Amino acid sequence: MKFRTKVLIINIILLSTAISTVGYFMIKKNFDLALDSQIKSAIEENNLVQSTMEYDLLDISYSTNMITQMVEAFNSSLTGIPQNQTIIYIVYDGELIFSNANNEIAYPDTLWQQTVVGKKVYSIESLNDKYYIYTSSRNDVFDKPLNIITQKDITSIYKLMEQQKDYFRMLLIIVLMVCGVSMTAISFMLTKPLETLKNTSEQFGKGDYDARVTITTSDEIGVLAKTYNDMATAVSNHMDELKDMVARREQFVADFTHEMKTPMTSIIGYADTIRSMELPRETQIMAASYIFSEGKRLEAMSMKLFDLIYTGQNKVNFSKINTVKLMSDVIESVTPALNKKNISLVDSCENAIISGDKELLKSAFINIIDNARKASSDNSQIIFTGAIEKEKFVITIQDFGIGISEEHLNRICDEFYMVDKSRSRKEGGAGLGLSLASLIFKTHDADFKISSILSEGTTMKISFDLYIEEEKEGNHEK
Amino acid sequence: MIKILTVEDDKPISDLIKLNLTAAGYDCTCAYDGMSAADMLEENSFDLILLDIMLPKVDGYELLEYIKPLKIPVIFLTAKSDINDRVKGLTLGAEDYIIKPFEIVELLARINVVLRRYNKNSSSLTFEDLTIDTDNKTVAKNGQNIELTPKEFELLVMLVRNINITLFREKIYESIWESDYLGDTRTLDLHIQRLRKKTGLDKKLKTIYKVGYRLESE
Repeated sequence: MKFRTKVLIINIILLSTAISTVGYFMIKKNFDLALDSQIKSAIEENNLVQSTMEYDLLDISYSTNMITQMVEAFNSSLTGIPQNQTIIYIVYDGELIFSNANNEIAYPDTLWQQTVVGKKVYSIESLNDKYYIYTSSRNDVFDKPLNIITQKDITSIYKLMEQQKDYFRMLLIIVLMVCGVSMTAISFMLTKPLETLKNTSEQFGKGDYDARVTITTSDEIGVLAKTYNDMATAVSNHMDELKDMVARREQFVADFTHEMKTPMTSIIGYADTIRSMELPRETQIMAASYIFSEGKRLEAMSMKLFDLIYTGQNKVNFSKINTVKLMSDVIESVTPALNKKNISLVDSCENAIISGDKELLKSAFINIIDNARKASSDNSQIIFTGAIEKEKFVITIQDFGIGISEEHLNRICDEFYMVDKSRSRKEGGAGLGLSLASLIFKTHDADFKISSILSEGTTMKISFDLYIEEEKEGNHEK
Repeated sequence: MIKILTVEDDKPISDLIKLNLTAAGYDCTCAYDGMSAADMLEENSFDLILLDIMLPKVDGYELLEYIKPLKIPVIFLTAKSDINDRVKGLTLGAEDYIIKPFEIVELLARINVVLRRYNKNSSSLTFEDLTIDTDNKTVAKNGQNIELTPKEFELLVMLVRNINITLFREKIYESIWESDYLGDTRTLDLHIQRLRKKTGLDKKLKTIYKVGYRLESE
């Protein structure tokens, strides 16, 4: 059942119960008051009749025709009582001896028996759609009870009650109808935002992740709508992230297979050529050296990939590293390659301790310097410095080579991304060096910044947190 | 001589293609990026282009648009094996799509198919005193017709088209009998023997022990 229907039904039930209860008690109270006053006036009437009759009875003496005497006395007394209003029955010892009624007798038989001297008993009886009060009083005449019963027509108050009831019923129906209509309208208005929310979440569920609720009320539903929107935004952001991640992963796999296939094509092709053809000696050597160099390329790529996965899984052994030792190890590894191009390495390093995985950091710096070497022309210079700056240890690598344009700068750390593929491949690159380095710095919580100006050179800055407790010790050694 | 332009940025692969195409009797020119390929196309005419997709400066798809008006058949030669790339390449108008790593024999076969489609390679092949007419499926030695069965004829054509290249048993089996090689070589050996006898190529058609056969020329 819809919420608005529920609200409507519950409200109508409550409303009709309340109105009915109030109405019932109102009408009942009204009726009781009217009845009370009717009873009082009936008793008074009876009193009046009784006192008149008592007076008459004083003249009666015990004899055989005393009943006839009594009837005559009453008949004469009736002149003092408004005849058409009060109907009187006189019962002596259970026998009706006098009545001024012209219709049938309706008073209950038991009434005279219940009556005691000095008290009045009344009873309400209905006869032919009419209501009567019978009031009875008792006088003992010669040791036998003499009952004076008066009858009073009270049909009017019953009629009034019925009229009130009818009127009230009509009123109730009108009120309920008016309330029902307005309640439907109100509950429709109140639940409309819920309907909107429902429709929006259905839309969202069907994959429209841009669907949002436009409810700006400040009530609970407004709050719910806002919460829902926040949730939807969070979910769709998450979806975007996931999509992005999947896309990146797909790109990675595609790039990876491409990078694998290129050297494999050469290896398979040359091997096939050597086994299929009689080749001159020089060509044989050329083919074999291509197989060798392309095999080496595959090897280097698989090593770097392994490092990438290894670092990605956070299997990093953190230990204290002396920066001077780290940098001199790096310099030792890169010097032979730099010498080939006659590039001079300008280095300086402050003594400090950082926390990290030495082998990984070494490989990251070697990769970066190798990139700088590839970008530099012969006889140029690479600056490699380490210094303490504002609680941080900052390592700077600067070259004066070809530089990187802005469009490439954002993607430079993506796996297999190469600014100039043919040049990079010629140098034996696989497009993994910088992605590996940036991943290593990330696992070390180090800040990695690249800035570059085309054909002027590239500067890379990596800031590490200093290893705090051991920092002073390092200075003492110095 | 049929002239083929190879556009491939990876030097080892480029050299490999050139080595094999030259051995197969084609005139092969190499370009290492899209720009220089376009320059070469302006200066020279080619019968076929082998085109890599991921090229520096101008990529393969762009270059294909440039080649189209020249009506030179193009075979894509790429590591992109994704079905969408293949469909894109073919709908753009490439004649074929070869995925790296490829085998030399396959490359030569596909080049042959494309050239035949464009009627660029002559329907007659010659090897020393043998003349083979691939249209009429006839072979003549010094003008005298030789009767060959269809399989023998196909085998001879394959050998002549791959002069000086060792054809592996399984390769021959797969391409002539068009079924998987199951290790039974009797059929192939028998055909080779009959071919030697009929054509008189006893010495030139060499058996490479345990590997396959090779037709050698001086």
